[in-house]
Amino acid sequence: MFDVSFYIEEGEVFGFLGPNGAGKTTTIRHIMGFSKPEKGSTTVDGMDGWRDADRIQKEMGYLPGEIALPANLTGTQFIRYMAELRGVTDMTKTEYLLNKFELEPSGRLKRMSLGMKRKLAIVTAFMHDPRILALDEPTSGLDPVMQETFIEFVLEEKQQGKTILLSSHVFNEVEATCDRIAIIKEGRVVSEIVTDDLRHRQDKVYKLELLDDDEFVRFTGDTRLGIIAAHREKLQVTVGIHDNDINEFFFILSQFHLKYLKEEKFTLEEYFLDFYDREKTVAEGVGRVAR
Amino acid sequence: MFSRPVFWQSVRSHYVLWVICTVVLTALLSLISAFHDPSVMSSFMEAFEDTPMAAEAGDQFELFGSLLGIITQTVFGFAGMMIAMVYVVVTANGLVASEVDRGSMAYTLSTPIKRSTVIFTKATYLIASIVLMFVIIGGVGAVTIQIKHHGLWGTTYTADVKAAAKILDRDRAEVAADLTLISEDPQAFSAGARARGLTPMVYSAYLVQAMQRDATAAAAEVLGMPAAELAKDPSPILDDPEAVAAAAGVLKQDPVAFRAQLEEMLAQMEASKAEQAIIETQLTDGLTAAAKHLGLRTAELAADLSLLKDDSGAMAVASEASTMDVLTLDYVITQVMASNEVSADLAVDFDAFAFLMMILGFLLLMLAVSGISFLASCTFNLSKHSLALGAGLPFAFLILNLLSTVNDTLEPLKFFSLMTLFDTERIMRGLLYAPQFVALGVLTVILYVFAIRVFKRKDLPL
Repeated sequence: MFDVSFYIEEGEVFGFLGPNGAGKTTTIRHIMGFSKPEKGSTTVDGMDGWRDADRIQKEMGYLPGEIALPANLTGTQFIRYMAELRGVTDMTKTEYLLNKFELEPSGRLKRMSLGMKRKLAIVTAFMHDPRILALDEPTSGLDPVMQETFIEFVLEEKQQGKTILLSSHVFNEVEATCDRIAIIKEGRVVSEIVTDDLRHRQDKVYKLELLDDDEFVRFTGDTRLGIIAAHREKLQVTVGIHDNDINEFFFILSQFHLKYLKEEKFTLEEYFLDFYDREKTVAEGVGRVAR
Repeated sequence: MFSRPVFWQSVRSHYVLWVICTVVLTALLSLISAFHDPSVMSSFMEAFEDTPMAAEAGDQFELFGSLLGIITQTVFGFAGMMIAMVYVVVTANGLVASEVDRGSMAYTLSTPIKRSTVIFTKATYLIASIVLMFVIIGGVGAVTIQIKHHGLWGTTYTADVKAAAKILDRDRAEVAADLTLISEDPQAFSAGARARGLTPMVYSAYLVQAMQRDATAAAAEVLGMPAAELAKDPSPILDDPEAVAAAAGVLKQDPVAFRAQLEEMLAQMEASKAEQAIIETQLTDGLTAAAKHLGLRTAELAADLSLLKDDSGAMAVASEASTMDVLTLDYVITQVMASNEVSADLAVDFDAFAFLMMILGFLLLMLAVSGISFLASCTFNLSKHSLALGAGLPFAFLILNLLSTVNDTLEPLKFFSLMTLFDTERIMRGLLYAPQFVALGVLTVILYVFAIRVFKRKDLPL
């Protein structure tokens, strides 16, 4: 069913993007040693995910996608429980996290909102200051302000050289934090992107509207332009231009009567959604423009 | 191998149900023991003695009339097993399957604790909590029984033995072991009769029957067979000179004379079997008529025959209805009252060792049940599947066990029930039960070992 291969360099933040049921959580389960791969293996720090599960956990923090905290405990008891299991005695990191996420953990877990439980899970995942982290949908249930705080915190951790696997379907948090992103679909890695390439892409897309139908016909007939899409009724045209050709592009534009011109910003979201709309290869995906 | 945090987390999650079940079972045992009244029980049995129900039940009546008998039918029976199993089944499911199903197991396993340590600790909690539950039930129960009946440690003495020992200025044990001391001393005899609240005539009949009982018990010990069985058919005594000597010793008789007497008695018993049945019917008729005369229910009168015996008017009515003359009727009633007293003595007797063995057997049974539930809990990832097997199977066993007692047709069902390995009747009768206990123990070990292995190797959907 599943055939997923990827590696994460030390100190790298790796995004794991895909729709529900794509196999993100299953992959993390294997890395954590909860399940044994039918084929192949997972390795963390050179240790086998299944055989050495307990040894791997020493250097690892895990934030489960589904927040199901143990019953009958208070938040404080849960933190103490996790600290004891991890053998953590120095609580400075825990205190720092509680402050950062503005969490007051003394209440009963049963009565806590999803957001509070999520914060508790974040605290216990990072409390032992692990070198490696596996975060599954880390911000679901957090309010927008806390999502920002979390992104800020992940960037802090990244600064300290942590290796992070971040599984998510929230584009802006992946875009903001990850060095590389793998897109997973139906149990397969269908695309791998270096985020910097996206940020500094030199192929840009412009959308413009012409004054009238004559201009539209004249414009679409111009062979020097890389026209991607044209709508005659709306008199709108979408054009793809490499940064190197930008001067020539404006020179050509000056010969037409335009209503407006705007750049179509390329976002990961569009890229991702398009990927799921159609069966696309990596090359096509990066080259895509029009909707 | 063992993790303290995991253990305490298990305690915190499950102690409420543990406390409830332990308190309920302990209270059940203590209250039954505290309110058990041996004399009421023996009159109760007496009231039923001539009914078809009693004939059906056979000597089970005697067995279950005692305090231990009552306990086996409640605390060690269906009700007690139900309560204990609720804890065992729910906790076994909650420890593993429910944590996996809910996903909270992920937190425990995302720490440097080995999976085998987690599961071993949880198994330890389950076993330890069940053992502690039974230690408390057994301990509190034993203390209650001791306070109320003094039957557990030290020896109980009947009221007449205590009174007579005082008059005779002898040790109670000495008097209890040799009732001829009472029958041969007029002062001690009248003190004993008073202490028991009996007329001299009934008390005298009682002493004879009690000595016979002691003699049979002495012979039974020599023969190595249950006294109750020997009392029904004393003929095996004759086959063993040592048994004859033991029995004769109790009665302070010459073995030869005793043997002759016993032979005569056996012959008489054989001859008078039919006659005895007739007398029983006659007595019932007489009792019914007398009860009507006295304005009592038959059972009430049967419970206290002195009401009849001390009322000449009632005796006349009973005599007429039973077609027995008053003297014969008086004799028969005296014998029945004496034998009631003997059964009341039996109810005072509490077999402490059997009680201990029952607690142990119950514990072993519950551990085996916990093994089934724990294996189910370790095998399935969904709580509902774990409960379907881990609770369904034990409760099915319990139902099968109950059904098997309904009638002979359904009796073979007991071979499909685990509960059959905890046989309270065998324990009470002193029959062999060690193999069943060993089987339960071995089964428990196998189930737990298997459960731990399964959990260590399986894929978890966390």
